[in-house]
Amino acid sequence: MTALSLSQVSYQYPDTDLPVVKDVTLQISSGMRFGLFGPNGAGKTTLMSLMTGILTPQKGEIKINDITPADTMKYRRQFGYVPQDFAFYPELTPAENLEFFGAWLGLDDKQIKQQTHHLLSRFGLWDVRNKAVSKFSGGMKRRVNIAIGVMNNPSVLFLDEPTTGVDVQSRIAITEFLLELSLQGTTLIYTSHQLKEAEALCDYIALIDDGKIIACNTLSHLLEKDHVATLEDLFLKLTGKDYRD
Amino acid sequence: MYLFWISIKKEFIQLSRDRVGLLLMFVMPVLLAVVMTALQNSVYRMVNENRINMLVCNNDTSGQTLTFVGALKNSGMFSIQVAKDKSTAETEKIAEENDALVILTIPQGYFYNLQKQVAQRSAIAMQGFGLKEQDSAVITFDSMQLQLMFNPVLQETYRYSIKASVNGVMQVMQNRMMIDQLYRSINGEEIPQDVAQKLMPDAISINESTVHAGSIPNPNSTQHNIPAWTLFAMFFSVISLGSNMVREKVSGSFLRLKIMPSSLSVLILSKQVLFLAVTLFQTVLIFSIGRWVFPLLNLPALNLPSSYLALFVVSFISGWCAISYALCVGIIAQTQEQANGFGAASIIILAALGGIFVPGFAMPELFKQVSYISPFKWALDGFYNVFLLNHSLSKIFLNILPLLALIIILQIIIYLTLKRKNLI
Repeated sequence: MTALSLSQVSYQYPDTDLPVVKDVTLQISSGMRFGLFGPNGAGKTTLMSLMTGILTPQKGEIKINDITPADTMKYRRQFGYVPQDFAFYPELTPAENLEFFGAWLGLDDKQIKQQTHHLLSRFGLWDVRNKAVSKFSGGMKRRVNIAIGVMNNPSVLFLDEPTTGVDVQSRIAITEFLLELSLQGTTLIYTSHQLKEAEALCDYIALIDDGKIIACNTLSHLLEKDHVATLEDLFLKLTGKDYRD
Repeated sequence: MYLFWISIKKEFIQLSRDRVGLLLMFVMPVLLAVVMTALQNSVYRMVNENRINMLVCNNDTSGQTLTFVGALKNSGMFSIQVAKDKSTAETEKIAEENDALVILTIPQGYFYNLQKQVAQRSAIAMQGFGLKEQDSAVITFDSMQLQLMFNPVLQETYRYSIKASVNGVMQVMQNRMMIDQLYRSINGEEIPQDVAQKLMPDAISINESTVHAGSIPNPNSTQHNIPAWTLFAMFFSVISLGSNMVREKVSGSFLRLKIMPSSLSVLILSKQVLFLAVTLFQTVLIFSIGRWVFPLLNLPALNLPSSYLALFVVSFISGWCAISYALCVGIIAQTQEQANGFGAASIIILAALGGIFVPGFAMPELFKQVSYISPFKWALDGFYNVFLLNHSLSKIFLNILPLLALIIILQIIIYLTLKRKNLI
């Protein structure tokens, strides 16, 4: 079953000459751990913004579980989003943050309490649930960021560099958690510059450059096809070594 | 509704943990209200009550000094303290202790000297009327003058008024002494009281009225400073609310909320409701201080208006206008520095123009006209109408109308900016 589909999606920012995303077509099945990679300025973030409904494509169609962004609230209920930034309130405790975002995700009081207890315990934050997040380490903040993204048990989870700046322990914990979610049927849409971590997490890879998908298949298939040993080698082979920013 | 309350709760927690914001919104305006009222109190009393503290340093032993001081008191312009036979240093010390703005010194023998001058003029008059033979003797008198010392804060116009008042009283006394002397010279006896009364001219009565019947009378220092600093506190929420908005935008939480299955308008509404409640709390707090704490500090107590509804409406609309402005700054600003810098500077300029620091009646004519561009002026006039004229709700409509118009404009700007930035 298709969890996320993009059909001939293009997007051009106002006051620019060229589109940033050009005729992108993707079919992502349920439970897939999909990695989207590309150099800086390739169009990853724009594509992610299009999929999450932050931006609206000028051309093409996007669906999550067969629902289009036109059905706004229903579409938004299908997915969770973990941005690269710490997009929460540092003055609040993790429990207060989860309560607030849980309500925004449409959960009721009982569901919020259950999920807060479950997620804070799962991420090792239960003991510090009443401490302001501003006093947390980078790894703890990353875990809070992810916990907010999965509060509503989404069927599709978008992750934008979810492990940036964390220590090995936090990274392993986050990766294990994401694999666990995938086993439960959650589709992961993951983007990062940490290609080694991506190899461990993703089972399907797409490389984007200059707004176009230049490779898209299982990791093993891509490595075999291009006769390279690692995702990083593949990345460099397809996108080159020149600076992009 | 659940989402709305959770959003209000989140705003409340954020605000309660924002110590700097709380200091700026509550402690600073309370301190400013107390300090400014205390500083301006004597000036306001001088302007409004027209009673100037005068210390009369009396070195004359004649009984006429009592008549003179009594006449000065009856002029209604002075609040008089009398010091007898004091040195200059002692006099100045007493003046300082009693907040005297003027020291009037009556030299020793002044009225005796004056009496002799009157007697001489009377003799000249008698000779002129042919009732007395020409007297060849030339009498000379020591030049004696009353001495006025002014506090430097007194403006020139006040000094002229004070001199004119003292002169007026002296003129009346001299006239009376002259009539007494002439009567005595002609009839050889003291003038009867009823005759003296008839001979003395009545004080010229002047009928007073206000040019603009509907204009607002000058407030006292409390009536000005309490609403003024309450307004300042309301608008200074730009620091807390503006930064709060910018932080949400910069951290990405605003964008995160945008893609959640709820409307961002709930967040904007919850911010407005909470901060509006804060502005009303500021009003209650600062007004209560004016009402109950000021008398303990020897400052005039805030007299409560007859229409509490009108007071509530003016406070509510002023608060909403302040919140709309803060929200607008927060949404347009790209960084916290921009929000804080522009927010604070614009509030201080608008407050100065609107008559918060220097009340409108004391402004130069040009600035009086310019003040009408400031929402502080509209709101302050609303409070003046409620407190000074006891206006009802229907009569303050004209004051709140421009504030309402500004609220609508600011809310439209907020909506359009959010839309343009793809946040709603």
